[in-house]
Amino acid sequence: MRRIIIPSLIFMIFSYSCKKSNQSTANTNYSVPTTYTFANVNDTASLQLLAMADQVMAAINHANSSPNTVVSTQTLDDMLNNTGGYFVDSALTLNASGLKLATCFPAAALTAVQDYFDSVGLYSQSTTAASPGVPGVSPSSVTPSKLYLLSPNGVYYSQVIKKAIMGMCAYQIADVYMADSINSTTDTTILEHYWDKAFGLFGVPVNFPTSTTGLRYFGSYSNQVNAGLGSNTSIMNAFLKGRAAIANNDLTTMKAQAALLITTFDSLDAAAIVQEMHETNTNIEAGDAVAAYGTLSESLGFVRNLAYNNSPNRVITNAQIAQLLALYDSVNPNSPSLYNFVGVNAGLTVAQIEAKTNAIAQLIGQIYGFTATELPLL
Amino acid sequence: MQRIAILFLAGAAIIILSVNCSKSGSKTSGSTTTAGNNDSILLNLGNNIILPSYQALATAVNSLDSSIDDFNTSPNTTKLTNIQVLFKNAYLAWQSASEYDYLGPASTNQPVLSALNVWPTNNTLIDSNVSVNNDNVNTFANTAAKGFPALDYLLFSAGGNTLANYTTDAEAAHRSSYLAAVSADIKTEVNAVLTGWSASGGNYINTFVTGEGNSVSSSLGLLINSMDEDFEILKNDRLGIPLGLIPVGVTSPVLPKEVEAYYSGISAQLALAQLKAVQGIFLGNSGKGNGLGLVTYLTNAGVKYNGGLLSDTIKTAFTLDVTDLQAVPDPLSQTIQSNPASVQAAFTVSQKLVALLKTDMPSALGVLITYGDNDGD
Repeated sequence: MRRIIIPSLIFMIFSYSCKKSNQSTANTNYSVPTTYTFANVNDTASLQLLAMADQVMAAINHANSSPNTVVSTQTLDDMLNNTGGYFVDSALTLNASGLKLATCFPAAALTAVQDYFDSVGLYSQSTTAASPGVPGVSPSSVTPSKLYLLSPNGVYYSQVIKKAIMGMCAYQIADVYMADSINSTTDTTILEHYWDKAFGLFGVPVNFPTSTTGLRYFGSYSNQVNAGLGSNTSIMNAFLKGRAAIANNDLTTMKAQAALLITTFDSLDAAAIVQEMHETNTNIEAGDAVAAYGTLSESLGFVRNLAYNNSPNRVITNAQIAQLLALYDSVNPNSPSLYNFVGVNAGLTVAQIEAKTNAIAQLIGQIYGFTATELPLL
Repeated sequence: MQRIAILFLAGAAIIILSVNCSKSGSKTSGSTTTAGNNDSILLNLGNNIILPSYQALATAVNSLDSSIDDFNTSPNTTKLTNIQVLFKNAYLAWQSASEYDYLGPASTNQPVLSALNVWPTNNTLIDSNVSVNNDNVNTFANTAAKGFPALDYLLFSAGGNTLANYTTDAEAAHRSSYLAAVSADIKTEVNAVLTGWSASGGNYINTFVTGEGNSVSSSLGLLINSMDEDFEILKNDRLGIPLGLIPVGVTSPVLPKEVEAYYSGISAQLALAQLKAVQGIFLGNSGKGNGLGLVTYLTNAGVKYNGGLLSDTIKTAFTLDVTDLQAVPDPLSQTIQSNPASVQAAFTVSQKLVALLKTDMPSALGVLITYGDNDGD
């Protein structure tokens, strides 16, 4: 506690006499803790948002339990806007929090999510199993207790929505907090608050990655691609270092960590696409078409997220995103048929399908510069 | 990746050095140790266990295939009984080779070898393929209409009427040709993997025995991952799902048709064969093995577990699991209904064994488990 007071005293004295930035009085001799346990940590709002997201997902996933388990689009919209008191409160009060998931999405993503909610509401009324052109609930063939509400094109909207939520988190972290927010002030407390809110949206415990319990959203995906990319430690260290830097008025270091986080979240979303191609291949090789539709839908969600990232440091271009979407369905890239992807009526072999998943993984690898050791591209 | 590799290599160096320097590590009965640093455990596993398992599987499926061809030329009861026996032998032989499905040629060939045992079959699809005379078993759409489970259906589902299906039935000719196509596919794929492993073919055996260390791409790393992934199929698919215990926490009914080999009724025997095969890799003693196995790495490293040696804990768990599974009679599809407790006992020990093989053992050996149950989170 004492160490923090002294630099702020110096700051106060110097700032009286010269209106230079805090950087000239930065204390660079501070240690960085190994867990996210700082004084005044306040990421409650982010934890509330993630809790809301969890409950929105649970509501959507009711539709999977059997055909005609109807989920109301209106209810989902209300949950997104936090009206109607639909949330279950716990230690985190949600309904009265004044927070809304809806305001956290970039505009294009919000429109997409509302469309997805419409689809879930409509398709959950189907009374049959899914088949090409027919929405419904179908089981994984390997794990028949896992059920999926699929669209007429075989898209598993539950996961597309979940990935859009993750995209929202990444957008808030990388495009809002690590960009406009921290560049809008030099006030230590306000900076710490922005930083904590960003960390809270990552979805990890304070002693990550020593502990990998309860990983959610991008925290979970960082862990899935961590073996080659080392994303767990690089992300966590950036959060820890930046937060310690703020407390010690070392805004140069804080900005360096922010820059790191911005590029890391961009490439993490891209790496997740490759991870989903791996999982799709595993499902294809096991003959599990429905599970493959699931993982393909997950990857589709991640691909669409790339477009919502408005950072000038984003690696992928709009033209490249279009190229990527065309690999799912060259005829209807914005509404791909996953049935056609696996050649349900065209008698494709496993090798032919994997040539397609490979192509997606390779394109991402090229664009983001992943090496085979970092992220085996199938 | 490099940071992790350095830590693992340091750990591996300690373990590997201790293996090569200890007396038990230098006993090489049953295999040759070439001069140099080749790991004698890998030599035993590769030359005396893995390669012979593939050789035995190839022999069994070749024999089955030629008998099926012979049956098809002039079907009769004797020949049918014979191919049913040869099918069971081949299916049992499969259980000693599936442990390597996720490394080497089995995983890099197209189609992957594991696709030969996707169950339950889609019977409707098989029937419709037969109806329209579609013998193209290697489309993705036919993954659940090929391999051992398809043979199981084709050779046993009609019980006493099976012979008629190949003689007097209206679709007898189509069915014979589908049977031949399924069998030919098995034969082709198994032999392709054997060729990939053989010194005279792709020589993967050399890659395997020289792949030292414990990195993700080392033979130890690949083998443990593959064996564990295969062993989980015992827990989940051979026992758990039929018992209605997977996923955990969800109440599901018992599902008799989810057992492996539902029609031939040899599910418990197959599960036991697989369990013993995994035990054999651990102990290094199946087939012509000389006793140098994964246990050797553990014993030499002296890894402790709950006050004793981890190697002893795992050995005991295997023995218990074998005992429990031996007490489960076939047909398993009946036993899970009439005496589920006996099957649950085997499931419970299998669960504990999964934890030992997937968490404690790899961590003790510095091996990273890279296959995941990442299920759409």
